[in-house]
Amino acid sequence: MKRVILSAVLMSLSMTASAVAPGGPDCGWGNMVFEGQGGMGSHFVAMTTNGTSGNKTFGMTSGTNGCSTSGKLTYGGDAIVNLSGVLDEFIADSARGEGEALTAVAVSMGIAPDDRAIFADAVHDNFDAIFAHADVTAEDVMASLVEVMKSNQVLAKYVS
Amino acid sequence: MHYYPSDRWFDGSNQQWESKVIDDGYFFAVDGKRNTKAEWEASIQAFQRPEALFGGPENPHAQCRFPARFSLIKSLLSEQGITIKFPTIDCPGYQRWKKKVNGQRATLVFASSYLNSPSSMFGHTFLRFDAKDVGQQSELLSYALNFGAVVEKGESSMLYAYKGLAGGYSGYFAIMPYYEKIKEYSKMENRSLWEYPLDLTVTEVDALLAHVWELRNIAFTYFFFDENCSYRLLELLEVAKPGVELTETFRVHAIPIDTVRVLEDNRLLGDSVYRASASDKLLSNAKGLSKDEIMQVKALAEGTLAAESVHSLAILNVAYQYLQFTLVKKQRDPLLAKRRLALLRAINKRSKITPDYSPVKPVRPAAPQVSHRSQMVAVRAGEFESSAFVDVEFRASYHDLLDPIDGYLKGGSINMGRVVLRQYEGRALDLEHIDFIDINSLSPQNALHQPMTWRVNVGVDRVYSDDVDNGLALQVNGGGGVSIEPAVDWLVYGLAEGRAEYLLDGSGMANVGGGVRSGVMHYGAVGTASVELSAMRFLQGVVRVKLTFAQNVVITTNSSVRVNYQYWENQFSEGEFEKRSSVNIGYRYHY
Repeated sequence: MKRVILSAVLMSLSMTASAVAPGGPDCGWGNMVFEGQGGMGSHFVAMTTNGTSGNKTFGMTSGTNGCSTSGKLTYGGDAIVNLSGVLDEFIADSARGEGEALTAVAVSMGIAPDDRAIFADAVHDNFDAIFAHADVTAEDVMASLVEVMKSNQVLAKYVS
Repeated sequence: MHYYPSDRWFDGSNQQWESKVIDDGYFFAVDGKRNTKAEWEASIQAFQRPEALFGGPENPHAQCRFPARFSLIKSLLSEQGITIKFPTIDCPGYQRWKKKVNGQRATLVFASSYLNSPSSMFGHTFLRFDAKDVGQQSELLSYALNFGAVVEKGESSMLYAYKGLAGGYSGYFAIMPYYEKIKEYSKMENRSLWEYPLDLTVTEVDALLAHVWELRNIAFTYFFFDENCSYRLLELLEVAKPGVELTETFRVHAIPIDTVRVLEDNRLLGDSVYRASASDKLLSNAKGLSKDEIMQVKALAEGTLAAESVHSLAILNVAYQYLQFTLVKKQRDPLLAKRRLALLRAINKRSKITPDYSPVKPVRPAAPQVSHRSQMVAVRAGEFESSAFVDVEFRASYHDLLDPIDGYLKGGSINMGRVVLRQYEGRALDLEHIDFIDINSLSPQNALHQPMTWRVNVGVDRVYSDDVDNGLALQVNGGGGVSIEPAVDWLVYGLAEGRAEYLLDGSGMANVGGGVRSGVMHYGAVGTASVELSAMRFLQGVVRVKLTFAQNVVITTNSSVRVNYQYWENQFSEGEFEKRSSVNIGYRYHY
């Protein structure tokens, strides 16, 4: 029996420095929207028991275990939320123009509290452009998001 | 902190002590788990060494591997006036980790129970570390610290239960983003979360994190009842707040909600924040819709109705939530992904037209810590046929269907270790009833959600029949069925059931039967009432019918009066029958 510890794909903290590509292997940047939990595979194990989902590592590099924070998809190189971890929530919040996941993404991109409403509006207004089709990946979404922000007077400073 | 017998000055005595940590990596001495003197000396030596004790690029030095232990030893030595020179070591890995966690405040999170998940019924607790200005930020980005058993994939829940009780698992602390925990509890398991800010200073949170760092990848023996998630968290909080005594009362078992109460009693908890589960959000949002609108929701989810043709944001939102809810445990399906995007596009478009729509939020229920306590004693006086009796009852845990409902789920109950002793007038005290385990999950079905209703009971009860001597029987019974909620605060249920029993009167008689059970429950202002009828045919031909009426009257959260009426009828194949009835009234106290 295979252990349900996710550590196989989860790197411990010590790996922070070794990452090269954005995200790194198994990080989930390739995860598509509407992945649900079923598609997370080794990233997530459904347990109905109490606190037994057994990620025993202390892996925490960029919000989701195993993801690096270096590469072109980070801004300021610090603590960006791994979009793939909240992608389903982010797309739903974006459609409505409000929600916790939307705020979380804004925070992780370093957007000042005063500019967050502008960020929410921009995402809401450009929903169709950011989520162009049903198979977009976290990486696609981030790239489109950056384009939207670049063309926004207030938000451009966060992605330049 | 599991290094030495106490966190006070260690004088080399107390050789009986043994650390709860089962991981060799936690100790400096070879036999450090038991040999406290050797461990004490070895740790001081390790902290004194100029060079690394552990290999690897990260945390090479003992001071960096055990920062909390190092500061403990330094303060103990200075208290004793002993001067030992320690080298000054930089710990970049530890510092980087602390910066990443960015924990200036700590929050206790309680995951409440969910009806159809018996192992969830006791709840669960974990910690969350928040940035100072988390209110302006998002708690989603905070880190959660969880203690749990590591379970083999595919292990059955029966095996889990057994191993959990017997200490067959290793427990580990794990850190993960809070949004992963929200997914796990709110979305996958439909459990609501209660967040209690802890009254800890930044320095105290820092001390806590220093110890958490030491516990990474360190194995503990995991016991479901006592040395579980909640117990270990209390230990951690004792580290953060020296002098606060939290674990003392949990020598036998630590039910998560009781540990929340202890923290509240010690004035460590702030006002709670309620985070409704995904299913609660869906159901409350759907309640505002008419039958016809629910049909549209289902048609949208099934793809027989195009999202663009629906103009109501309420319907579109419920449809999306419903799809999300039904698909959360399924593999990704490209067709369904398209359907979900179409729904979100429609929501996006409509929300630009009617921007002030907001979903119907679930009503915040009574907070878990104001619920009745988990142990109970009761006394009863009553009459069986024409014999008067007195009952004494004890229940180790937790909640039955009629107990005060605040903080518990309607239709859900779980009891373990319930014993009833009875004395009839002029006779000796005798065993009347034992429940080893008794679980009811009367989970109501509706248009959007069709959970199963089930119950299971294992214990010793009485078979009332002229054929048997004292009727005491070891038995297991249970079954499955359907519940509905015909109106607010009403629950109607029906189940098909089986029962196997073995009489303990020395006759060696065993019996197997099957039948039905149906009942109505009402959650009223004075308390909960129920009427239940069951009928079961046994292999020998007898049909046992039982009718029960019960009303619980809540006096305070922890005390109630309960009235019970029971009627038994045994119908034999020859057309004969016998009947009995009993009525009683009792006082119940939860503590």
